Amino acid sequence: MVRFEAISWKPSSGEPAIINNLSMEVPDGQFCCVVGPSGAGKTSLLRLAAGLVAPTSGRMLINGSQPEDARPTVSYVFQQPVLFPWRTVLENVQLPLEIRGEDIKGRIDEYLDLVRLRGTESKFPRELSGGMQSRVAIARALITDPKILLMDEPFADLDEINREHLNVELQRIWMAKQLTMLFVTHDLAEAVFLADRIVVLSAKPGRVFADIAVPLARPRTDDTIDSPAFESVLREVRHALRAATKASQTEEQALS
Amino acid sequence: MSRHTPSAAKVPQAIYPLAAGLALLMVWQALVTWLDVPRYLLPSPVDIASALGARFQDILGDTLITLLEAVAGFTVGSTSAFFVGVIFAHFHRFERAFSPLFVALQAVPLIAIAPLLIVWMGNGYASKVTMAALICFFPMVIATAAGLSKAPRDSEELMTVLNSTVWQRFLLLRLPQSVPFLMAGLKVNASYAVIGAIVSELAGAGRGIGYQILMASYKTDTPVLFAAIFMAAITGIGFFKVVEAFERRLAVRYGSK
Repeated sequence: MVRFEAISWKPSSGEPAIINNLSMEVPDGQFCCVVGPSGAGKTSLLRLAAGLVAPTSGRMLINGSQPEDARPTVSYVFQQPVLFPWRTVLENVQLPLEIRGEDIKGRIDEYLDLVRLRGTESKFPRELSGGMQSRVAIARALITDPKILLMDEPFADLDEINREHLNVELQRIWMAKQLTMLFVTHDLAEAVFLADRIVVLSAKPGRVFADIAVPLARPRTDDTIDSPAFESVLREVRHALRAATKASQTEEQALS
Repeated sequence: MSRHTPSAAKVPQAIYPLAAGLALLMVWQALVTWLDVPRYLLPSPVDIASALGARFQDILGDTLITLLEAVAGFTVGSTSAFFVGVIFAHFHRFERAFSPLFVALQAVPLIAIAPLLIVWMGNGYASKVTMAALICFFPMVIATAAGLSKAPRDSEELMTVLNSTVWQRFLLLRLPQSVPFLMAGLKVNASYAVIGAIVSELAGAGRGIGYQILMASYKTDTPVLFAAIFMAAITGIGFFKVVEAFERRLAVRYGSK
């Protein structure tokens, strides 16, 4: 369970708050997508959950404990792939296991297959396209078998085909492993396809503007995307985002 | 495209500077001969070569001594500087206290203290190795501290969320990340170490290439003086090239600056 309790956060005391009095909870096993206008603090939300920054006020709880203590069960996929250029694909994927002192070769092959990177094990990141690099980062996040996955626009650099493939695969992994997901994206169709629930943030400061349930049956497929139900949820999310953006702008004008 | 390009591409790159060097030597030889320049002012390349040939064993022995002093000073200076750099990169209070001092000391012409080292340590090898080590020390401290603190923020954060220990962060991120910086420092030091050893020999020594230079200058034996300078140059370039070759091997994985 990922729990934000009345959280406010500002980068430093002089600056305006990025997130203001935000409360939300992602129950175990839920796939929660976060969308919002730029500057709404979507990335900050993930950084708070990962314990990379501490809230200015409020409480951040992962399964009832501090984010720092929950790290063994949490994986984070950054916006950038963040691969070490001196390590091969295989060595990059192995990094978390190396740090934990585990060595499970079979699992690595499984995840390399999953992100379709078999055959590139001995390549260096600079030899891969941006999309392939993102997939290495995803394999590295999954290799530790996390319970909670924090993902910051992980598929932003991928082409349509790879993105669709990984959306389907991510859904499969999520269902199989009963992961709790906090997934930031700016692609609304991706959010509707993946999420049980979509949280729409408004900007400056970020807070929950709308909380939309996605009642589409699992597993979702290509047919789901073409269904009227998908279209209607997508429309609802789009309207909410539009309203959130407008609200942020009015607030900004009121402030200036 | 010109028809000559394919065959020109097969010529090793080294041929061009070699040809240029040879041409310059020929011009030098010709000018000295035609203008009848006295040998003690500027000997011809042939004079220098024959002086080197006549004293080869002698000069080569001294060259090797200088090389050994330089390598020893390089190793001691660079290694100890690496550890100080590691401390600088991890203990910021220490760095804030000493770093400005070290940057200032780097600007001090250390060769000025060569005579002092002779007074303290005598004119044996110890003063030469110490001089070379001192000259290597400060650039390497700066290179190490800079390299270790240059890891991108998101790489540092990745290590944080992966729950790495301080030691793992050092070994798996900061050290490999700083390899290009370390190699740049070592390359500079390869040249510096030879300079340090020779300067110390000039201040007082019984052996070494600096001693050869000093003796030849006392006797105004300019051909031998040139021969010794030539060997000093070879030593400096050779050591630099060895370190550079090592850097090139590491660069396949770790990149270069």
